[in-house]
Amino acid sequence: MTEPTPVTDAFAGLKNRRSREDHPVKVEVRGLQFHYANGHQALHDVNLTLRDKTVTAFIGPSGCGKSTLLRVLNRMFDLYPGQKATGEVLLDGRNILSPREDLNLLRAKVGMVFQKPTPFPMSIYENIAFGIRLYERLSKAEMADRVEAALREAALWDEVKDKLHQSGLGLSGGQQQRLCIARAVAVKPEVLLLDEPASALDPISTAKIEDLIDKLADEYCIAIVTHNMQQAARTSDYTAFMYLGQLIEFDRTETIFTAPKNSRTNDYVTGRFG
Amino acid sequence: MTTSSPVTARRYRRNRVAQALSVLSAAVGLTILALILWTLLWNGLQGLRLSLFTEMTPPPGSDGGLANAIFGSVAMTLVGILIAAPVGVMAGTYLSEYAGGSRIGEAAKFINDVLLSAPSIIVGLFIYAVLVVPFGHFSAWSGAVALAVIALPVINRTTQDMLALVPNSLREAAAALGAPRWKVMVFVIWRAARSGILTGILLAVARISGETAPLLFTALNNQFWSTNMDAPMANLPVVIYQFAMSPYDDWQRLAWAGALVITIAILTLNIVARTLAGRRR
Repeated sequence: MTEPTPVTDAFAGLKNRRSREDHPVKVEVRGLQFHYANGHQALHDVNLTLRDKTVTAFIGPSGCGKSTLLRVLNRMFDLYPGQKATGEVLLDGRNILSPREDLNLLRAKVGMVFQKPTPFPMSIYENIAFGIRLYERLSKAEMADRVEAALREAALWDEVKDKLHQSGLGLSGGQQQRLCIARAVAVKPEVLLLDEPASALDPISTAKIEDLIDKLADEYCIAIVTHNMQQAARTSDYTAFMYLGQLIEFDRTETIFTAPKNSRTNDYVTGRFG
Repeated sequence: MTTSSPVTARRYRRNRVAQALSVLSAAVGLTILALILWTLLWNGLQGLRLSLFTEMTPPPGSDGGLANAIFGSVAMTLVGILIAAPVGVMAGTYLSEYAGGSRIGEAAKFINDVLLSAPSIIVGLFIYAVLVVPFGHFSAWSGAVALAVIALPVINRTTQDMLALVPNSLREAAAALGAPRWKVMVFVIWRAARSGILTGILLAVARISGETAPLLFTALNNQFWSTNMDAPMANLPVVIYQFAMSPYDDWQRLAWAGALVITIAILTLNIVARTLAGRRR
C-alpha cells in the first residue's frame, strides 16, 4: 500500500450500508491445498465458507494466494496442466474438486469477472447472447429480452441501448467491465467471482462497479478479490485476510477492520505492512 | 548534450557512423526495388493492351495475348488456396492451442518451419513423383496441389503467430462462461485473430501466384484455352519463363507484359493484406 490508512477512514464506508442477515452457506472450502506446476504450494490448508446473497472480500498482499483461491472455486486452474488442488470445495454440499465434475456446468453456476475487461471481439448484443446460447435455445424476442435484462442488471442498458450492434471493444474501460458483469449474470449463475474487478478503472467507474456489487449481492453469492482496503470495507459483509498462502483471519468485515484478532491483520488493514 | 567529455564525443561519433551505415543499406535495398519496378514498367507497359486479356498465347511471329495463362494462374491458385487454407488454419490452430509444448507439437512446428523455406522446385519434383507419374500425364490438378503444398506452411505459421497474439485472458473469459473448448476457439479466439489469419492467407496467395518451379513439372503449359483441370494448363509464370527465354521479340514483349500483370496483382494483394492487418484491434 502506498500510504497508511487510518482505521476510521477505512471503516467510514461501512456506516451507511445496510447489514445483511445471515444467509445459508453456499460454498464451503475445507482443507484446501494448491500446488502450481513447478511444485510451489500457493495455498495451505484453507478453510472458509461463503454465504448466499453475501459479499465476501479477499484481501492480502500480492502473491498471498487470494486470486489462486478464486480460481479454484470455478476450477479455472484446470486450463493449465500441472496445477493441482486437493481438499474439498463444496458447492451446495457437492464437492466440485471431484474429477467427475462437469466443468462447463460448474462454470455456468460459478461466473467470473477478471481484472482486465475482456469483451469478446463481437457486438455488445452478441457478447451477452454468446453465454446464454451455450445453455438455452431462445427465440429472437426472448433473447432480446434476456440481453436487455442482463444489461439492466449490470447498469449498462441506458448507455448502450442505441448501439447494441456495435463492437463491445468500442466501449470505455468501465463500460467494458460492466459488459463483462452483464455477460456473467446473463447465464444466471449462483456464485459470482470478481478478481480485482475495478483495479484497472478510474474512480468514477470504480464507484459504479461498487454500487453494482451492492445490488448484485441481493441475488448472488459474491466473492471479490481486491487490493483496495476501502473497497473491501465498502462492499463486503465478510472479509478474509490472506498471507503467504494461508488464511490468517476470516470474520465479519466490521470486525476485520475495527477489531481484528490477529496482529498481522491489524498491521495490514491499517497500512503498516503489505 | 550538456556535458561533452571525450567519452560522450566518441559515442556521438559512433552513433553517427552506425546511423549512416543503416541509412545507406536501406537506400541500397530500396534502389534495387525501384529499379525492378522501373524495368518492369518500362518493358511491360509496351505490351499492355486489351488483347492481352482476350487472346491466347500465340505462335512465334503472330499477335496474341495471355488470356489462357491468366485464367490458368487464377484457377490453380484458387484451387491451391482452397486446399491449403482450411488445412493450414486447422493445423496452425492445433499447434498453437492444443499441442502446446508437447514433443510432437514442437517437432511439427519445427518441420513446418523447414517446409516454409523448402526450395519450391523440390515441391514440384515431389508432386511430379506422386501425382504426375502415377497418372501418366501433366495436369492442372497436380499444379494446384503443388501450389497448395507451398502455401500450407505459410498459412500454418501465420495462424500460429496470430493465435499467439490473442491474450490468454480472452480464453479464460470464454471458458469462465462454461463454453466448451471448441466453442471458445471457433466463436471467440478465431474471431479475435480473424484479420490476422486472413492476412496470412492473402500473403500465401501472393506467394503462390508467382511460383514457377512447382508448375514446370506439374501443370506444364498449354498453348490453347483450356478449363480442364485434368489436362495441362497454361499459367503466367511458366509462360513468362518460356517466352522470355525465346529469341522472338513479340514473345519477349508478352513475357514482360505478363510479368507486369503478375507484379501488379501481387502488389495489390499485399496492399489489401496490409490494410486488413492494420485494421486489427
